[in-house]
Amino acid sequence: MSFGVRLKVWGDFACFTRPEMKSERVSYDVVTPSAARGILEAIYWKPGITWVIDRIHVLSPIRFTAIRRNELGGKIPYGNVRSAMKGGAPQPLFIEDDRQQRAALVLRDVAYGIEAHFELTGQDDNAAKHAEMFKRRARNGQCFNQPYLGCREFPAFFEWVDGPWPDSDLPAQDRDKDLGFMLHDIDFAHDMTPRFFRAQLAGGVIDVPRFDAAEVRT
Amino acid sequence: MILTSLAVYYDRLSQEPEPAVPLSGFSRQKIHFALHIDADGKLAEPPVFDLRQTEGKKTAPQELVVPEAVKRSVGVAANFLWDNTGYVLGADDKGKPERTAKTFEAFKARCHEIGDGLDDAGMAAVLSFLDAWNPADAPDLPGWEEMVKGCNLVFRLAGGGLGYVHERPAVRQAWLDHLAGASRERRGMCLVTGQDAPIARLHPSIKGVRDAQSSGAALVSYNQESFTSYGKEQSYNAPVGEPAVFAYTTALNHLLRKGSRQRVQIGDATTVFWTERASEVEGLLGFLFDPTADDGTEDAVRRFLEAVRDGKKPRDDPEELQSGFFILGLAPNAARLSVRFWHVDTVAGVCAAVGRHFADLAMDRAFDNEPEFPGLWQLLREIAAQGELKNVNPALAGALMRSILTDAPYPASLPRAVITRIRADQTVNYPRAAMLKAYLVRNRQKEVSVSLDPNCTDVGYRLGRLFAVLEKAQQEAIPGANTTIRDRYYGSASATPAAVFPQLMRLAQHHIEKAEYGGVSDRRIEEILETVQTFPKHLSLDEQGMFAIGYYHQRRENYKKTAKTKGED
Repeated sequence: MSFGVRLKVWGDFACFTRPEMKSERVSYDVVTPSAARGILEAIYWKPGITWVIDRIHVLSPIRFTAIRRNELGGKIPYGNVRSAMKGGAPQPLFIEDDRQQRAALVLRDVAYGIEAHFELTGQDDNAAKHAEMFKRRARNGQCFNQPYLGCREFPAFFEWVDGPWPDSDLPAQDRDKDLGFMLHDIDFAHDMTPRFFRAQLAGGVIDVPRFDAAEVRT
Repeated sequence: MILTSLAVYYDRLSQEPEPAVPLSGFSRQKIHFALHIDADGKLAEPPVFDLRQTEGKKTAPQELVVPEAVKRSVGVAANFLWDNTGYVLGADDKGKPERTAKTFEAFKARCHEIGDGLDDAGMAAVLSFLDAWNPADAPDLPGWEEMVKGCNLVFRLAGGGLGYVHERPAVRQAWLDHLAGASRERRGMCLVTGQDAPIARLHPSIKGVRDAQSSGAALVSYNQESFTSYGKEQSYNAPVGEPAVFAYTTALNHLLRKGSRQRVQIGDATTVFWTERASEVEGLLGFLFDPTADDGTEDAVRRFLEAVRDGKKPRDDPEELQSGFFILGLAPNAARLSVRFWHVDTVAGVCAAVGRHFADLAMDRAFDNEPEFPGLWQLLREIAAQGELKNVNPALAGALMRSILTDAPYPASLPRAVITRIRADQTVNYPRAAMLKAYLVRNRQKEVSVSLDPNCTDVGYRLGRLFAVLEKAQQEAIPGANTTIRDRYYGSASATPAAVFPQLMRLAQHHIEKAEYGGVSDRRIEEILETVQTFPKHLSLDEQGMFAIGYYHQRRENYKKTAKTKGED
């Protein structure tokens, strides 16, 4: 029995930041598997399951726009947070003191269809239970936290898809395209190593290899 | 994809017969002399070749592609197979014999380190020359007085055929192997090429982006803590292999070099473009944005632009037309570069978009010396205060370029910018009328003709024509008037016709009575007003655009007629 999920997600803006263009952000052309996983996890996730992205349908034209934002330059050191938790003084960080203006090339008016399934991490768990819970939550629009398109400030809207995927607005000449190497996900077990795969649009759909597949490389 | 496309472009450049870009591990250096040695390492005849070239009174050293220079400050570090006399011959004019002896030893050691065991006659000759050389003999070399002044030397093998020793294939390969092995960076998959390579910790800076630091700015950098993630440092945040880093920075620096025809400044974005395969279009597009008076390509450009405007293919080679066309706009931000614009299309796609732009823009010119294909800057100058480029709104400039290249609607602020300038100086000239037309045609799907259309019933157009006729009537009645109705009324006539036209019509009656051929104006006014029921209270921005176009067309027509009658007399 397969417990695949089909979810349409869309939003006004999206930024799936390329690792090499992280300072002055430039987005990937389409959603990355790890960003798609994040959206699913925002709707439903338990330690008993892991989400695996199978396919990504690109439903709207790939359009970019440039924006500029003021952001923070630094981070609060880990040690300070720890001491604050132990009862020390809270650690303030004022943006006025550490401001960085950053430009970003972000996506506009995106819509994707995400096809995914989950795998159980434990032995004795009921897969049908998780599947039904996800389905119910997705239908009701419930989420643990607001799902987002790459960056927290770009909220994602979502809906469960029962029938066929809606028609894609992607122009015909863009439906078959090599998108180059794309981040698949981070290998958290091995020193947080990024793993990449060659993203190919075929008929407006990207087939995502499994995380442990041979074509996903570090 | 930006880095990948640049790296691919570098490969294309480096494979040309005479590459304009340095090869990885090599750099262009000023070299003055070449030592001529035979296979046994003895100086041959003549012992020294002077590589300097004389231009006028100056003698300039030749620029040769040699193994990359080491980073040198005060310490001793030798280059491979080329360096100054202190290193190569162990003699110089610096007056520090101990140091000079050290530098010579360093040079010898470096050549041995890389060249030992290499099966190459040139390399062997250099090594035996260095082993046998006595620095005290240096002053006996011909031209030593000049050579000693910090000149760089290379080696040339007698009868070796192939130019210099450092150019011999085996030597080159040994040098590259040495470089690859010397890299102490950790290895990993390069996200540009997908191959296993040493990961670069820092990326070289990019020079030539306007307003960026003159020493260069970085496209890939992590100069703030918040830019990093997962505890990674510097460029380990993005694993890019050293060869790819070299390739993309070299290609980008090549595109941004001084005098590049593939670089244009649009607003605050320094924009470069290149094609996947060598294509003439690559060089012609720079012309589209910033036509310079004369660089000998005018005819080719004109033919190209005429072809694309008429919807023809500028080339017959289908493969070239389908190859990729890349446009990258960069703007500085702090010590970094931000990508303002990134567009990938085919050569055919860009040609078609440019063609449609000029088709939308097509308008009869008032004078023959006006450009038939005005460049982006010529258009922007028309909508900048005082006609100065420094007053061009950078946001509008960027948006306009984007619409031209992607065949997207023109920026919504374009007509207001044009109309504001027209109202400020009461001048409706060819580029302004053309821009208004292009906007109305593309964004509003209006049909606007290239020259006067007597059948157009658009009220704005008609009123614009009427205004031109009224102006003509005044001109005929009072030639050389200091202030014409245009100076006084253009603004209000185009925005609020009902407020001024009745008065202008009354005024016109006096002008018509006074003028010699007033009847002509009278007939024209009648004909224009045929379809105008009332003067509208106000005109929208689009209608004001039509007003300006109508005014421009009718004025041109008036001018043409008078020229003809004069000619007949």
